Amino acid sequence: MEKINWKKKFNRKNVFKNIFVYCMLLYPLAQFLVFYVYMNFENIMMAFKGMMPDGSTYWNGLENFKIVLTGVDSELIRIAFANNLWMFFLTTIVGMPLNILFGYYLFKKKFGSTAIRIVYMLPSMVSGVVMNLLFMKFVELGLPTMFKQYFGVQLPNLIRNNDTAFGVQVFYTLWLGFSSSLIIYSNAMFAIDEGIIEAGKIDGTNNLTELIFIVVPLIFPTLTTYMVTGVSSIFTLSGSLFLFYGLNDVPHSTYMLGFYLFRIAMVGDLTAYPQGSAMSIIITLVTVPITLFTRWGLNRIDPMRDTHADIS
Amino acid sequence: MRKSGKVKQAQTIFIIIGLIFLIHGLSLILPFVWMILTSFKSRLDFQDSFLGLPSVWKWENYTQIFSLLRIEVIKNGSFYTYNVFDMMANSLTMALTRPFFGLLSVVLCSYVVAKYDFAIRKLLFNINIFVMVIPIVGSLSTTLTVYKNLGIYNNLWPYIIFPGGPFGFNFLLLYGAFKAIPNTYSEAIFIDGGGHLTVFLRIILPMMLPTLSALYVLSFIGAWNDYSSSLIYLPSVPTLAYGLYIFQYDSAKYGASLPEVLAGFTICSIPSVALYCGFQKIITKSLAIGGLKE
Repeated sequence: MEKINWKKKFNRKNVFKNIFVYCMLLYPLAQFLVFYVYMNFENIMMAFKGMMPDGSTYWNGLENFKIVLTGVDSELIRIAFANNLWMFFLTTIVGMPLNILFGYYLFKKKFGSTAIRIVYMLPSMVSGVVMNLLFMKFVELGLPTMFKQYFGVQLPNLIRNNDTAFGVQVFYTLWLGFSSSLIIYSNAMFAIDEGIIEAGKIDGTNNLTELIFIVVPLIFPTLTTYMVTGVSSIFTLSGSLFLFYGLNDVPHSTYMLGFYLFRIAMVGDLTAYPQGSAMSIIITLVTVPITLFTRWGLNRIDPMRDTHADIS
Repeated sequence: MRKSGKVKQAQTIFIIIGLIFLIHGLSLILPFVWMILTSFKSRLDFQDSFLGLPSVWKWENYTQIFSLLRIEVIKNGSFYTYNVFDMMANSLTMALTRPFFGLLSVVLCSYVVAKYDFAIRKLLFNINIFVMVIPIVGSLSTTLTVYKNLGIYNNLWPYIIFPGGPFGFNFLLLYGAFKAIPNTYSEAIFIDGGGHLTVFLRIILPMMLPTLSALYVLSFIGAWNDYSSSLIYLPSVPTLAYGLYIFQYDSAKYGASLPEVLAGFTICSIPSVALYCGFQKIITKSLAIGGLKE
């Protein structure tokens, strides 16, 4: 058996280093323990409790889970569940290839790319309240005025109409969300060694082959991170429902799970809090296997997985 | 011949993408142009023409908003009225300090994980991946309960000092940036008799200044524009963004019209847009996220 050299292990240099390291970690780790570990522990406990209007709690077994799955809101939850899946599919699965293609345009520094990079960050720089109000005024006032003026057609209120309200949500998310992910993807492309691109050109690559065989494999870790974190938040997406409708006027057809949880907390009915916790646990149990499977799958198809794995 | 055909095809694709960019880019800019133009209209002018230029430029909208925008909140059991300047002060306090503590937490943790070999180093990196990948969803209702129990709810300074844990995208971003700094600089300081803190404060932090300032400016802008903190956690500490959020719903109650509301929004947007213009190059270049592997 190998002997541990205690003298070496506890020399002055090591002790100072360790003191420094653990002092540095004190503030961040204390926060992690309270706001992640303790918070989630409390959440799990709350899911099995009932809460009285005065905030006192009692053991409630699996009752909260039963209420979430079969109670009066179960139909609404089903709609919200489907909406979250649609929102994820349309904004992430459909949006990602478009983002890569458009990011490549910026990477190749084609016409207007500097201006595009500046303009595209603009929506992230102003309050969501501002963007939302501008969008709503345009859809509710501007669009009908234009349609009536130019086509003589009376347009319904797309935001309040049950059939179109969710479509408006998806459009709004795509319209604004496209910008920030585009900047991240193009920045990942700019980090690619120019030598690799040049070597590809000598080998006769054109734009399409360069994008598919050089750029995408090299930015694959960024794509994986985006996809995995996107999948992990599928069922907590809430759209911009609160900004569009407030707490009480949301059309049922647009409900999303994130908003459902938000609403439980904001309405302030303490007796409903444990159902929010139960629901969040159900969401976690459904999402964990999907997320792990996605990560496993993406690691398997990583075109440069040997190179990327070598880093560790 | 075949090659030139492919080149033409690629050029066509780029032209189409360019056109889509143009349309989308315009759709992002035009609402701001409309906001600024409308903020100079009179009430009647706005009713007559929704999209056109103001017939008379009504600068008073910008002065009136300062007297119109007032928010009433319950503070320590009694009603308290906040005016624009009070709300601006709250926004400024939040925007200056909370990003600092948020960033401090991430910097301290990601630096030691990237640069030091110690017992729980690997564990901490894996916790970050775990936090990002495994979605343990603590519901908002529990967060509110815990905040109330810890005395953070409706209490500005504890809310600022404890912005949450160090893990997430920023950890990954800073971990990569710290890792990329060669160890030769710190070794030189150690040879000169300097300690770990000297290395961190005099070598690492100055080298990281562009990345850190980009993250700070981004967080500042996020905090300045944040209405949800006041809405959810600090109902007695209204920020300007929250004030405007309430004001747009109750504008009629305050005797304000949409042009005046938009004047308020324009004022609120000026600091963040100005900051972004100043730091635009650093911000857009610093936003790069790597993979989930160490």
